[in-house]
Amino acid sequence: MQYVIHLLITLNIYVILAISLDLLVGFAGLISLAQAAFFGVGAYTSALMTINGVPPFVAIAAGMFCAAALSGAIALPALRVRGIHLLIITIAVQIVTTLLLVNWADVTGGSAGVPGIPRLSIFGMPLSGVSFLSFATVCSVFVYFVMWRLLRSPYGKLLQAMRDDEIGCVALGKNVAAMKISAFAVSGAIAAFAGSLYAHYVTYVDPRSFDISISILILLMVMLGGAGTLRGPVLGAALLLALPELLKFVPLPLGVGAALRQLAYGLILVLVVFVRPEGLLGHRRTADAGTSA
Amino acid sequence: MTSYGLLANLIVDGFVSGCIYAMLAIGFSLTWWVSNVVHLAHGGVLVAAGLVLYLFVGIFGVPLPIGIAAALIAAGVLGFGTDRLIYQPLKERRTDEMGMLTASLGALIIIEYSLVIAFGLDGATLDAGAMRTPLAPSVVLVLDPFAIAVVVSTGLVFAALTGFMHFTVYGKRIQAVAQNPDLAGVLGIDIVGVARQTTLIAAFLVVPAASFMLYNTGVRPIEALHIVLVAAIVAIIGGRGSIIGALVAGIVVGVAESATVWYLAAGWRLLITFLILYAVLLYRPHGLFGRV
Repeated sequence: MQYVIHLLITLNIYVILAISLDLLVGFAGLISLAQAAFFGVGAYTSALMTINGVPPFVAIAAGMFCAAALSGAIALPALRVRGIHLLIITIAVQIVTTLLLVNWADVTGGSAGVPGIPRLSIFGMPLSGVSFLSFATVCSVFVYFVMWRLLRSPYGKLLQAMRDDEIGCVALGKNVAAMKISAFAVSGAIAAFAGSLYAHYVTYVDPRSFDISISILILLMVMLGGAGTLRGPVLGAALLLALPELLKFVPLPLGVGAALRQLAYGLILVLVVFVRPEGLLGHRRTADAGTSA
Repeated sequence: MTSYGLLANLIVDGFVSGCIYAMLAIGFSLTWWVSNVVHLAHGGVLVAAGLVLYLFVGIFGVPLPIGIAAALIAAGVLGFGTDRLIYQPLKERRTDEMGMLTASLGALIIIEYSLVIAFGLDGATLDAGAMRTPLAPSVVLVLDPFAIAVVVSTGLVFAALTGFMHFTVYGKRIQAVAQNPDLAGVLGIDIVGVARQTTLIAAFLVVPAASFMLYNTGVRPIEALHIVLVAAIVAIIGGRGSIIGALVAGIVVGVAESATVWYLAAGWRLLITFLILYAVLLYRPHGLFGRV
C-alpha cells in the first residue's frame, strides 16, 4: 500500500511537470529540454530555504520565482529564432544547471545533495503518506484547472495562434516576444512548484533527480500522450511511470535494465513521431499547419 | 610550475581541444545547412565510430589504417541509415519541426543506449604511447606529437573540405542545393543525390574526431548527447554551413574553456561555452560567419 501511495504521489508530481511542458511544446509550439532544470531549481530553492528556517510556502513561492526568471531568460535570445536554437539552448541550460548543482558544493551539497528537508504541514498537521497524496492530488488538479482556464483565456488563444502562425501574429500587432518569454516563465514556475512538492515529499534532493534524462522523460510524456491537449500529458505521465514498474518484473542484469529503459524511451519517441505524431489523445492538425514555421 | 607556464599549457591544450570541437561540429553544420536536418544522432554516430575503431585496433589488434577504414564504414552505414530510415521519410510526410527534432533526439537515444548495452557504460580508451612524450618539457608540457597530429590533421581536413566545396563540381552542387534547393532542382541538380552525398560526407567526418577522442580522453556512449551539444553550439556560433566558421568557433570555444579552467575548476568548462553561445544568439543569431 505504501508503494502504491508512493507511485501515485510521483504520478501527481509528473503530471504537473508534463502539463507545464505541454504549455510550451503543445500550446506555444516551443520545444524545451530544460524542464528538469526548473524542476531542480524549485526543489533546491525550497529545500535550502526551508532548512534555513524560511516558512515552506514562502520558500515554494521563491523557488517558483527563481525558476520563472531563469526560464524567461532562456527565451530572451531565442526570440528571433526557434526550433534548433531553442532546443540547443534549453539542453545547454539543463546541462549547466546540473553542472551548478554538482560543482557549487558549498551551497548545493554537490553530488551528495541536500538531506533533511522538513516535511510540509498544513494547520499544524504534518503531511505524509495518504495526507501528502491528497495534498499532491489537490495541487495537480488545481494546476490542471488553472491551465485549462489559461488556455481558454485570450492569452491562451494567442499562444496557440502564435504556434500556428507566428508571422501572422506579428502582422496583427501582437507582441510575440512577450508571449514567448511569459510562456517560458509560467512553465518554469509550474515546474518549480512540482520540484518543491518533490523536495518536501522525498525530504532529500540530489542532482541526479534533475538531469537531462528527466527532461527527456517529461518531453516523452507530452509527445506520447498528445501535445496540445491537457488530458494527453496526464495519460503520458501515467503510462511512462508504469513502464519501469513493469520492466521490474523482467529479470535483467542491473546495468542493462536502466539502459534498456532509456532505449525504450528513444524507440517510443521515434515511433510516436512516425505512427501518431499528434500523440495518443491529440487532435490531428491540418496538413499544412506548422510545416513552414 | 609558474602560473604563466600553466596558462601556456592551457592555451595549447585549448587549441588542441578546439580543433577536435571543430571536427565534431563540421559534419553537424553541413547536414543542417544542406539537408535542413538537425542531426542530433551525429553524436551517436561519432561514438559508434570511435567504439568500432577501438574494437578493431584495441581488441582485434589490426593496424590503425584498417581500423580507420572500418570506422569509416560503420559511420557511413549508421549516418546514412539514420537519414534514410528516419529523416527522409519524415521529410516526405512533411512532419513539422517539433516532430523532426523529437525524432532525431529519439534516434540519438536509440544509438546511445544500444552502444551502452553493447560496450558498457565505461566506453573505451586507447593509449597513444610514444606520441604523448612532450616535445619541450621545460616550456609547455602538453605540446606533444599527438597534439601536433591533431592540429595538422584538422588543418588538412578543413583545407581539403574547403577545396572540395569551391573547386569541384560536387562541392559546387552541394553549395547550390544548400543556398536554393528549388532553383537547384530547376537547373537539373539531383537534390536527393546531393543530400545523400552530404550525409555520407558528414558521417565520414566524424571519424577523425572520434579517433582523437579515443586516443585522448576516451569515448563513452553516455557522452553522445554532450558531444552533439558541443557540436551544435560550435556550429551555431560559427554559422550554419560555414567551414571556416566551424574551425574558428571550435578554437574559440576550446581556448575559452581552457582559460576557464585556469580561473575555476574543470567542472565549470561548459559554463563559458554556454555564455558564448548566449551572447552570440543575442547579438549575432546567425553566427559569426553565417549568412543571413
